[in-house]
This record gives sequence, structure tokens and C-alpha cells, in this order.
Amino acid sequence: MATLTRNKEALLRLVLHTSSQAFLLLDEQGMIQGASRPLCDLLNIDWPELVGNPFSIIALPELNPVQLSPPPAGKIELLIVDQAGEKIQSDWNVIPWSEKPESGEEKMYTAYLQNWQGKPGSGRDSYLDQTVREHLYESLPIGMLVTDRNGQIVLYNSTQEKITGIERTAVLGRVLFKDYASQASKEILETFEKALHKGVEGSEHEFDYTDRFGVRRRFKSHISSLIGPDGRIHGVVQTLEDVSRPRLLEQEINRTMDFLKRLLDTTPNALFTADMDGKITFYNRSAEQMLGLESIADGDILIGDLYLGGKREAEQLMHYLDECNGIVENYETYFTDISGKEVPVSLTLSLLFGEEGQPAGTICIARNLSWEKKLESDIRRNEHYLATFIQNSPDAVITLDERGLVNTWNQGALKMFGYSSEEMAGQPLDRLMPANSPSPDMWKAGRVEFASDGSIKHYVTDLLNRHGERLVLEATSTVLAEQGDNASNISGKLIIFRDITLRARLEQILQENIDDLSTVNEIMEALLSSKDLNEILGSILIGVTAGQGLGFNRAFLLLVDHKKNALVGRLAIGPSNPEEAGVIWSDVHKKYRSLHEIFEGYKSSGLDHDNIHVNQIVNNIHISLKDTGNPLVRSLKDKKSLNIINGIAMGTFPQDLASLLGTDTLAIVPIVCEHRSVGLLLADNLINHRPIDEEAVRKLHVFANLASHTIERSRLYISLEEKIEELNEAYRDLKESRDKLVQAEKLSALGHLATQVAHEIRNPLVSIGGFARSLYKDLKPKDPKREKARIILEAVDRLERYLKDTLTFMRSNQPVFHPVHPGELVQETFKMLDLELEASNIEIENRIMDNSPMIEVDPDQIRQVLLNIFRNALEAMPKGGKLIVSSSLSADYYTISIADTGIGIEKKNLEKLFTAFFTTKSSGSGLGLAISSRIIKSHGGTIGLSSKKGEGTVFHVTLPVKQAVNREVNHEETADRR
Amino acid sequence: MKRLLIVDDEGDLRLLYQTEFETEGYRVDTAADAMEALSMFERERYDLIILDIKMPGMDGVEALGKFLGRDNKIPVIINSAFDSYKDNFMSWAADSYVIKSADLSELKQKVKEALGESIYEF
Repeated sequence: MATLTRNKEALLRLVLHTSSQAFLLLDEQGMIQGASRPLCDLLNIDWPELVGNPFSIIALPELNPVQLSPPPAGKIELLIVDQAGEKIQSDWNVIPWSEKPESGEEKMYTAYLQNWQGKPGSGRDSYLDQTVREHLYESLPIGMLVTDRNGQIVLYNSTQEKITGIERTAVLGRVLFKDYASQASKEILETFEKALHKGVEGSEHEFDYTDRFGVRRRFKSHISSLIGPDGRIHGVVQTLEDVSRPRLLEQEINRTMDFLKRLLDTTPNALFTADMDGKITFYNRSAEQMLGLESIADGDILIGDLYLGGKREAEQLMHYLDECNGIVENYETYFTDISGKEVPVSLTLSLLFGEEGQPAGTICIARNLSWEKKLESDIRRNEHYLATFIQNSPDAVITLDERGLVNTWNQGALKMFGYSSEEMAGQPLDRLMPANSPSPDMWKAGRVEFASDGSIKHYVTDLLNRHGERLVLEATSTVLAEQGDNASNISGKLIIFRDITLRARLEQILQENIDDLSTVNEIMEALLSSKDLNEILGSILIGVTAGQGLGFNRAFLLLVDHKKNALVGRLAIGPSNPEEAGVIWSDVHKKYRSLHEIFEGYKSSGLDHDNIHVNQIVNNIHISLKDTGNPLVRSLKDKKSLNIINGIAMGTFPQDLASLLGTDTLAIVPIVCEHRSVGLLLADNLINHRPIDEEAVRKLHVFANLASHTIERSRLYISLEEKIEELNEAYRDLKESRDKLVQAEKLSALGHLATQVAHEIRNPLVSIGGFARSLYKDLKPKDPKREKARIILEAVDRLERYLKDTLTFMRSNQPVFHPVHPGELVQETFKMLDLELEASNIEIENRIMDNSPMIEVDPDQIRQVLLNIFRNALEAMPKGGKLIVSSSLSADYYTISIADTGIGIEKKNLEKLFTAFFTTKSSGSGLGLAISSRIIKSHGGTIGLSSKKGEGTVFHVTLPVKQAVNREVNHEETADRR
Repeated sequence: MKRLLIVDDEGDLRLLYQTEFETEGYRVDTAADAMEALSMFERERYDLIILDIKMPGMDGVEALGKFLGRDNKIPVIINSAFDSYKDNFMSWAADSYVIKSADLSELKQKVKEALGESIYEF
């Protein structure tokens, strides 16, 4: 049986399909080798059903008693059946032909069906066939050209038209070569030639062809000879396939590959591909950088070289890949780079498959873990630091889970609360809470709180430690939430406690001190507003006893009386028994709230009526300062406070005083003014027996100081007032003097003028008169010129008299006598020396008897004498002494004696004493005594003295009690100077 | 013969006094002002000074102090037209104070007294 090649078969089928005639191809045995379409259509039997079957399958033997295997050559009438079994009368023409015409073997037969009847409509409309056929050609995506044996184009489908751009009408019937000559390659032409004459089975060529549009394309041509049933070449068929597109596709693929490559290069992860031998076929830029591969010369790198574990590791990995279905992810290992440094990497490996699905290589993506690893180690280190820090922190650092149970409990918490972390793990913080605690308002007890909005909360609280001791703590708390969430996703709580117990205590002390200060301040303000000493002292005592003040039960104030040289009680405040205490102080508390109000109340009403008993006590206190054994006196002298506790039993307090006071437990504080003790402040707690501690005594000191300041201030104030009064008086006197002076000035001015006038007139008058007298004396009595001279003299005389009488304001130093009491005189003189006496330390004594007689003297002048002598005495006693004025009377003379205890006068100076201008002083005119003696003389008296150096001096001024009526007191007496 | 030093700024009066007192039998020197008088007093010895108060330059009161400062025993008689100086304490240091008059008898008397010649003589 003839064996057809594949192509041949295909071509045959094609021909059979496209043939317009119905025929069968039979081999020698009469087996059907092929059937044309028309025949198949006619019989409605498909090709596969016919092929391989004898002819008799359609030409049934019972219908055709003819030998059909093989069928006889030539025309024959047969009755054939179709699929449905319908009988069809048909005329056949059997033509034998040979496959291989040279050998004569392998005979084949073509049985043409020329005529048929009996199945109207079962045969196909040949027109339809034609149409179908044409459609078939036309719809081929391949261009098809068929020529007959002469090379004339008999078939030229539309795709061919499109490809070549030549219309079929232009080529049908034309000989091929002529048209293709210019275009087709030589090879193709040759092939065509051969196909036409010799026979070609499927020769392929590719060539480029520019169609009429100028588009350059590439074609694949397939040329085959068409061999008919008779075995002869009936024509050539060429198919043309446009393979330009695949070329474009290839370009596109290349472009895509480029893109991919670039993509691969930009990825930060290293990418390798390797073949099955482990040779690296591709690596991207990141791989280059990671491992330093760029510096490798051309050469093969084995992927095994990269692994730290070398080849063995690579092989192991391949096994893994196998086991894991060709993909291994996140395999951590180390690569070694070109310098041998180890690079930590995480690998994802995958197998690559070839066309037939076999493993063709591996692809490996390596992520550099270097900095991740570094980060990891940093984090671990920081975590370690943090953990160490938390553990060692002196503060308690506690974390709780979302239920409030202890999660972590650090060393600080152990030290602070005394519970270990094992004991506290999983426990609530309840055991730290105080049941009730008297904490100040500043903080609330037992708070363990967290802010609801997840922020950090600071507050102060107190909690108990294991031993039940209360700790004052500063707390910082926060909730721990999931990342970025609000507090609704609480994963736990953190609270840090800091022990501020000590600080809190100090703050408390400070606050107490501030309270104290403000109390003192209140008192001071109250005191400063008052001037009355009693009021002030009373206020001080209130401060000592009031609850808002020091809160002592009773207070006593004692002051030193210098005259009596004793400590005497001055003022006291306090109840005498508990009932009274209750009444008094509840009243006070009801009425007054602040110290200020109490003071005001005291000022207006005085609490004396409530304090009768204590005041009785205090008025009976009289302790001589000589009693140095007495603790009060000691405190006074030593200026030291004493805190007496159970004085009688301890022997530190005298029995009698304790009886008087009613207690032997009290505080004694001295009141010191300018380094001198001026009194004592006593305070006790007789009623409530509250012990008096150091602090209370210290506070009492504050009050004692207040008292001293106020006493001093009060004294100063009084003396100031007195001084002011003195000054006022002096001022008044001064004013008076000034007025007198002004008056005198006026007179004096006038007098001065008059004096000037008198003076001017007098001098010439003296000349006139003097010379006139001279002339008068020289002239003889009978001389009439004498008379003229006498007249001149008389006139001058008259003028002089006039001057004397009217124009002169003679102030007479003639004494004007009045009866005066000598004692008064002395007293008045003392008064004139008031200021000087006060400044000095001189004791004056006026011993002049009240029953002294009155003496007739010029009071101003005698006062002047006394003043002079007194001044001298004062000057003789610069450090102080005594000045005693006494008197004696003998006959008609009254003597005033002035004695001093001064430095005395030297013998040698005695005689010159009354001399004018004599003085031993550095200042002074030295005329005082001279004038004094003149005055005394003009009174008809005498002045004398006796003195002893270092002991004193006595002056004696003797005056007649009565001045003689006819005594002419001539102020021009000779001075007793010699 | 007693020597007198008469100090007066009026030239006429100096002449008058010189004449009169020389007639009385004294030796008289005159000075026109205190400075002149003082320097004369230093050079010569005098038994008595008659001193005017109102003088140019140093006045008689100050001069009085100066004279007495040098010799506190020297008799000084103030002879002045001023009467108010009579009460001036400085003038009390002088032996006497005479108000100038055309009648020189008082002055002459005082001189005599001061020199201890006679107490009362008119």
C-alpha cells in the first residue's frame, strides 16, 4: 500500500476537499484510500468512515455482483448506498494509475463518479460547492497561489492579494514567473521551476518583500507540487505566510526584556539566576553592589561560591527546593562578598522550568539583612539598657495588665514597698492601700489612677508599705495602648512612684513656719496700730494665749522697776480654772475669729474683768533683783530663757512663787531692750497641762522680742513727746526774744542815728568850747573879749546839755533795786542753765531757805552774776559733780555761797581771777568775773572765793540786804584790780 | 613827770588836749589812730592812755583790748563822743569812761584819779 508523507497527505486532502468532482482513491486491493468531498457530501459519509474500507462498503455486493477489489478499469454501472441506505444508481469511470510511475508497482485507481440518479437533492449543488470552496480559500489566513502545469496561475486567494498587493484579476492565467521575477528570490524561483517540472514536497523559504504600500514585510513561502490522481504534476501550490508579525513580536519581547532587566536592576534586592550546574547566568545591579561583583573579570561565578557554606550549602538548598515544590522562602544565611566579608541575607529561591517543563535553573532573590541585623542588635542593646535601668531605678516602676494586675515589679518597688516581684506578680495593688489615713488636703490617700484619654497623669498620693508605714508618693501613670490606637485598646498600664515622704514632711514644716510667721505678722500689725503701752502689752499676752496665737493657757508679764530694784508683775491674761477657761475662750471664739478681731475686742472692752484672778496674782509678784537664786532673776540677768518642768520636785523653782502662781511648770523668757533685760514673759499650760516643748519656748521668744520692741518704742514715744513740748516752749521763748530784739533793733537804729548825730556834733563842740575856754583863761577879766569868750562857752554848754538830755539814749548801768527773794533768783538762774544742766551729769541743790529775807538788788544784774559763777562751776566739772547753793545771813548782809566739786583753781591764778581779760579757758573773753565784781561793787557788796585744786571751789557773794536810800551809787568807782 | 598818750582822730582836739594837759604839767604824746598809738606804746613807756572810740581802722574798744593785753595794769580812760558805749562791757574794762565835753574838767579829774593823785578834787 502506498505510504503518503504527511505533507503529501495534507495536500491530498486539500485537493480531495477542493475538487469539484466526486471520486474515490483506491489501492490495488480496492481499499479506499481517499474520497473527495463531493462524494462524501453526496453519500453523506465522512472521509474517515470510508478510508480503509473496501469499495464494497458503498457498492454493496448484494447489489453489485461485480468484483470490486480491485474494480475493473473503465466505465461501470453500480448501485451504491448512502449513509441512510438509499440506493443510488451511478455511473463510474475507473482509471488506474501508479504511485510510482517508474517502477509500475503500487497501482492505484481513481474511481470517478460521473453520473448519478436516484437522490434528488442529495447531491450537492455544485454551485454551492463552488461558493463554499471559494469561501474556504478566501478565509485562509495564508496566501495561496496555485498554478497549473504550465505555470499559469489558476488560484490566487484574497490573502495573497493582500500580501502581495496584486489583485487576482491581474494575475489569474498569467504565468507566475514573470510577475515574481523581480521580487522573489532566486531560490524561490528555482524551487518553483523544480516544483513545476520535477516535483517538490514542501520547500520553505523566507524572504523580505515590500508590498505596494511600501511596507517591508517578511514572508515564509511553502512550495509544493500538486500531483494528481494520475500521478502527474498538475500544478504547484505556494503558500505565503506573513512572518513580519512574529518579528515584531520578537522585538517587543526584546524591549520587554530590557524593561524587565532595568526593573531588576533597580530593585534593592539582589537577584541571581543560575543554571542547573550552579553557574550564575544573570545578576542584577544590587547583586553587583552587595557582593562587589563588578570588579570580577569575565569568568564564571558559581553560586556556590557565594554561600558561606560553599558548595555544600548550595547543594542542600537544591534539595530543599525539591522538597518544597520548587520554592524556598526567607532562608537566612550569609554571603561572602569579594573581599571575604560576610553579608547577612534572607533568600527566596525558586526553580525555573524549561519549555518541556523540566528544571532549567534557579532564581534567587537575596535581601540584605546587614542593617536590619544592626538595628536588631541596637534594639536588643537598648532593651537591655532599659530593662537594667528600670530594674535599678530607685523609683518603683510597675506595669499592670489590662485587668490591673501586676505584670512587672522592679527593684525600686521592692525597696519601696517591701514586697518581692514574686509576691506581687498577678496581684492587684490593693494591699498598698491605706484603710483610712489622715492625709492633708494636698493629696488623697491610696490613689492609683490613670487618665482616661491615655495621657500622662501626675499626682500625689499616700500608700502603705509592708510594715504599715505611710509613704507619701509622687505618682506618674499612663495607659499602654496598642500602636496608634486610642485607649480603648489598652494593653496594660504603667505607673511610677517616687518617694517624697521626706519632702512632704519638710513642706509641712515649712507650711507650719509660714503659718507662724503670718500669725506673728498679724500680731505685729495689730501692735503697730496702737500707741498705748498697756493696750500693746495686753495684745502681746493675747497673742501668747489665744488659740490662733501660741495657745498657752496663761501668760504673765513682769517688768523691772528700777526705783524698787525689783521685778514686779504688770499684766496677766488667762483663766484661773478649767471652767473659766472654757467660758472665756468659747466666748472669744464665738465672737472673734482672727487675732486681729480679738485685739480689737480687747481694745474696746478690755479683758480685765475676765482676768481678775490672774491679775491679782500678777500684782502680787514682787521679786527683789538681789535674789539671784530666784530663776526669774537669773533669767533676767543672764538674758536666757528657762523651761521649768516640775520645778518644785526638780528644785529649780521656789516653793513660794509656785504657790502664788499656782504652778511649777512654766516657760520663762526675758524681754530684752538694747542688751538690758527690762522684764520677763511667763507662760504656762495650767488648765490643759499640755507639755511645753522647745519649739513653744522658741515661739515665746518671738513674743518677748515683740514686747521689748513695743516697750522701747513706747518709752521713746513718750520721751519724744516731752522733748517736743520742750522744743515748743523754747521756740515760744525764742519768738518772744526775737520780738524783743526786733523792737530793740528798731530803737537801736534810731538810737544809733541819734548817737551818730550826737557824736558828729560833739566833736566840733569840744573844739569850740575847748578853745573858747582856753581863750577865756588867757584873757584878763576886764577884757571885753573875755565876755565874748564866755558867751561862746555858755552856748557850747547849752548845746552839750541839750545833747545829753534829749538826743542820747543812755542806758544806765545803774542798778535798779527791787526787793527779791534770793531763792527765787537762784532758781531762775538754774532755769536759764536748764539745757546745760541736763546734758551734764551734775546734781544741783538749792539750799536757800524759804524764809530768807528779801534783798534789794537789781535782779537782772545779780542773775547775771550768778549765771557767770554757775557757768564757771559747770565748766569746772566736765565729768559731773555737785553744785550746791546755800546762803547765810549776818547782820545786814546776805551771803550767797556757790560750791562746786570741780577741778578747782590754782593758787597762782587766784589773784588775777577778777582781772579783765584773764582766762584759763581756751574760749571766753575773761571778762565774766570782772564784770561780776563790778556789779557787786555797784551794789555795795563783795565777792570772794576759796578753792582747792582737785576738790572744788566756793564763791561767796555778799550783798547788803537793804540799799541805803541816800547811797549814791556811782558806777564810775575805781576797779579793784590791783 | 607823768606821760600821757592821747589817741583821737580829730586833729583839733589833739591840739586842744595837748595844750591843756601840758598846762596841767603832764608830758603828752598824741596819736591819730590805734595803730599809731600801739606802736608808740610799744616804743615808749606811758603812765596813762586817753582813748577815743570812734577812730578809723581799729576802734577804741579793740585797741583797749590790745593795750591791756600788753600791759594789763596801764590806766586807760575812754574819752568818746559816744555815750552808748558806756554800757558796753569792753568799756567797763577801762578805768573810766568820759563823754567828750568842751568842759575838760571831768577828764582832768579822771586822769588824776587814775594816776592815784587825788580822789576827789574839784
